[in-house]
Amino acid sequence: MKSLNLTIGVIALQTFACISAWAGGEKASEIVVVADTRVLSNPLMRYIADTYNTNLWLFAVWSVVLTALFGALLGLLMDWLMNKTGLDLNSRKIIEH
Amino acid sequence: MKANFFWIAVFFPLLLVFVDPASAADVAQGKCIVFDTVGKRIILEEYGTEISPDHPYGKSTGLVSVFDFAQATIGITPEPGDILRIAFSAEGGVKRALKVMNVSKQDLRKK
Amino acid sequence: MEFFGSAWLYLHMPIAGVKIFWPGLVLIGFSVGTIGGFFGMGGAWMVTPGLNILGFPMAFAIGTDMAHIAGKSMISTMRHSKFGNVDYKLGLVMLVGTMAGIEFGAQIVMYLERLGNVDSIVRWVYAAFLALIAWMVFYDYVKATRQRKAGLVGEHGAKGITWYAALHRIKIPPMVNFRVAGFTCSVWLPIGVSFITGLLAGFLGIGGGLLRMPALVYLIGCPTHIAVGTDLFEVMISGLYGAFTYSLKGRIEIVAVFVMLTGAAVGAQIGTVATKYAQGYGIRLAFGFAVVCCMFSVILKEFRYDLAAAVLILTTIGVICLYIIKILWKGAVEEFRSKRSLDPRRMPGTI
Repeated sequence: MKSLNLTIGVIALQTFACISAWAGGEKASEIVVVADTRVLSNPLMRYIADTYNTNLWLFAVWSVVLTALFGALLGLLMDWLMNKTGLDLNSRKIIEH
Repeated sequence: MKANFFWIAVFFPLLLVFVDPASAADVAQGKCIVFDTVGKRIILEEYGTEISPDHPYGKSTGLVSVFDFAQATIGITPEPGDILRIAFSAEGGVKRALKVMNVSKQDLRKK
Repeated sequence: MEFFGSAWLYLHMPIAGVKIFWPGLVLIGFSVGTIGGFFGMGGAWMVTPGLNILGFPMAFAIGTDMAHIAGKSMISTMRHSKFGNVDYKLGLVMLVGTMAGIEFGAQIVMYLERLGNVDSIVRWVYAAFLALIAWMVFYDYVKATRQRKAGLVGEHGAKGITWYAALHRIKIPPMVNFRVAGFTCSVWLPIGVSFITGLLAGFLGIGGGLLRMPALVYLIGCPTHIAVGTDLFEVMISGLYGAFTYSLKGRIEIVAVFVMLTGAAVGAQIGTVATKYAQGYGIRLAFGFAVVCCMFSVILKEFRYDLAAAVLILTTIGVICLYIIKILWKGAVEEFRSKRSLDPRRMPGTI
């Protein structure tokens, strides 16, 4: 058991050292992305890209809220649809992530 | 409980939309001619949006613009000849850059 | 990334500015739903590599995957209306570690992006991670077959692994009693465990349930039914936090999230319903092979065989989906037929 722990420790250290050696050696500068709104005609896409360019906080709030709402909506919709099909879904325990 | 969550989720971003005045910015892309760190300005030869194998970043429109980058977030430091994409707001004839992306040096299409 | 000439097959992503083969996006979403629903685990492990192979820069692939996880966990939470058995105290304590871990993982991704080699490093870590999953699946399969041959049915065999008993003896204050889960331990144990799973989740853009579940049971000593609920709770919160932090870093393509979520919602129904009709361990093998194929396509992408990588990953998940749909179709037809004829000899739930 002790030797196993030691081996795992050594492997972990080596991996870390490899990654740092691989990663190092180049200069680091921030990567900034500007969404190209010139080519967007769809107003919704345009709004998303504009928000992304001007106010990342608002963009972040929107993406979390919209994702959560859309997910919740789809969940309710699918539940309703599955009830309509008439398949018996309670006869087996369902675990999903 | 669910309804409360729903209304908070909808109204919070809407509130932010109204509170935040600068909601739209223009974008320009083109070749950097001058990157002046002292005067905090970029001179850019603007390109159009049509891309082709010969002109992967668009064709030059011949238009040359000056951007003030005093308050901008800048990615990889631009050098003359780099292709830049700039989000800016035009206030009283001055183009104030908000974000400067160095397109040619961080080409997203290659990855 | 353009594989075919026809322009209508490509959707322009407003933020990353890349053109994406949208049927591939739908297929990934649909498959992750179907396969995730069927096997009862996230399935997000195929999304980050899939998005990267379709042409998303790696940081965008991870961020978009995180948001998709948040949406998907909302779908399942809504469907079941609750998480089940959750030790909320444990969940909240673990939240500290999970969120810190995700943030740390995301910071590493951003740091590597600045250095310019995030794509390669994440791809190799993914290859290793997928190899680990494949090993877990095949090991489980071999063990199960052996036990079946030896005549052990039903029981999971000797449990044996009681690491948590030793870990509970480490008494670094503050000690906390988790009443619902039924144990007392140092608060640093769940925080440490959740930090590590959160770190992996933030770095690879996965839900982390694949690691958190066994960690909850074996390392923290949580009863299985509480581990399931607590894990679902963690996945949802960590997905939402991951989506938030990645969009604040500007590495999310929200349009792709929506396309995938729609596919995933439909797929998840097919997958979960199909579990009702599936039998045997053979399907687990198929899952293992899917993981291996995904691993190879990540490696192909690393060596710039873009088209081969895309074809491999899309056909693999496509075939598995078709297989699951076939199980569902056969089972459903059988069920309807037996309902109609009311024949007592026909048992629902058999293939």
